[in-house]
Amino acid sequence: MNITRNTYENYFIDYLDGNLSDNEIKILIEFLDKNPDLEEELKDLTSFSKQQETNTITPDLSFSNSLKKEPIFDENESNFDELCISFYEGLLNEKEEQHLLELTESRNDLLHIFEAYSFTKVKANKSITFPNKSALKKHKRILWHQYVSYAASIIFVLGFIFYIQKDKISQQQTTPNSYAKNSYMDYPKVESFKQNSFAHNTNSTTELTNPTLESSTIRNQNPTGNSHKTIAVTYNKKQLEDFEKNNPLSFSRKGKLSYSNLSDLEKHLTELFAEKKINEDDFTPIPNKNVINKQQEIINKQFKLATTIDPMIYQKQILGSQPVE
Amino acid sequence: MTTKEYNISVDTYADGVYRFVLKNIKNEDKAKDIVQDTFEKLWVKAETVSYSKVKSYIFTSAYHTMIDYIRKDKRQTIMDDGAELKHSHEKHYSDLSEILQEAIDLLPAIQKSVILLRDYEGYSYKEIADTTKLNESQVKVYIFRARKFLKNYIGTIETVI
Repeated sequence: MNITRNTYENYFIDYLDGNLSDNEIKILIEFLDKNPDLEEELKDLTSFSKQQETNTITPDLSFSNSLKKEPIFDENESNFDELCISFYEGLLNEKEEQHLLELTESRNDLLHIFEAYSFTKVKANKSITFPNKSALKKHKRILWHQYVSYAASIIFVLGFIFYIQKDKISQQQTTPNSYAKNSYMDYPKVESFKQNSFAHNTNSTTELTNPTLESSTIRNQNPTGNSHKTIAVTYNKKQLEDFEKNNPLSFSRKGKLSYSNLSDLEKHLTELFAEKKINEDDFTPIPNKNVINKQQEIINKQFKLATTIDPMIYQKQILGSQPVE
Repeated sequence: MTTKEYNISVDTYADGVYRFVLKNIKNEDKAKDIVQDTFEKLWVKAETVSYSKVKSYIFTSAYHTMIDYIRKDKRQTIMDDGAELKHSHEKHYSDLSEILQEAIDLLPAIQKSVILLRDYEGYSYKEIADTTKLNESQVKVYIFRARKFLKNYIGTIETVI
């Protein structure tokens, strides 16, 4: 029940009709204490109601008290103890407290009773304490089932990662092995550097480590040289450089060729291919272990080249080509 | 409730609940046992008990454990809490609290419990009702009866002073 200034009229009517419970009447009284102007309004309504139903309202008591079934101060003082207890329990409103205090001041016998109740409030002896509180305390609980579940989760994740890695390694190893099983002539060959790769300015989005074979086999080459395999590869310059570091290809040739960087080599080889001074068949694989670093390569007048055909290494005996200085 | 909150609860409420139980049953060892049992139960239920309601849980648990103990203890004098108490005293005391403590010990168990919860812990009628599984009206009646008995036992101010 929530009486507000917007809803009080309904409660007034319910009260006059006798439809409010004791508890609701109590709430209504509290509301009227806070809104004395509305108390006057209820008085008027009550007067009107009285004319009709001859209700009896005690005229001597305050209006709020008149609403109660039992007046707070009865003439016989039979409820004085309850009033005193209510006072110390904080159950009286301001008006009732004031009334009680005025009454006790005027009567010594009542004052003594009133004061006696003030001593009935029990105070705890704070010197009494629980002797071994530390024994009640707990350390962080060890939840074994949680740890087991955490461990299982970690093992599962690690296992999954290991599986993925193993799969990747397997794929990486499978590629050269499969090439290794084939003859040299089965290897994909670079037909044209223009088509390939060394176009390092291409806007490729391929992954760093594995430049992509963009087009499928165009031409295969068998041992007799009648068929050719052409691959079109795109990769960016960084890929090329990274790949070169890890997978250097060595080209040896007769003559004096020296390249200070890969792009010079690309440029020259591209020209050589364009002029048909060299072709793919001039390249033969050599093992990685024979590859020396670029500086030595230059000194030894060897080409060093990275191709996309990982990890194949080609060695070219470039005959008749002219050195580019 | 975390372990840290549990330990804070021990620091905050162990003394209070111990005083409450001890005052009710007047047996230190048993009071310690009841407090220990109470906190063990709290620890077991720590994951489900909210820290904001831990005080209520502790006092409710301690109260019911204590009531069980009182009921089982045949030597404990349990007065009929429905009986009107007519005790008074003729001695003169210099210490009012001494009289009051004596009077409280004469209260029926239920009245003693509600009055101690009210005065020791400052519980509202509703909180006492929740702890003791009574309704608020019953709590009010018990408190009023207890106060009246204490006042009668104390006698007039002249007797005390």
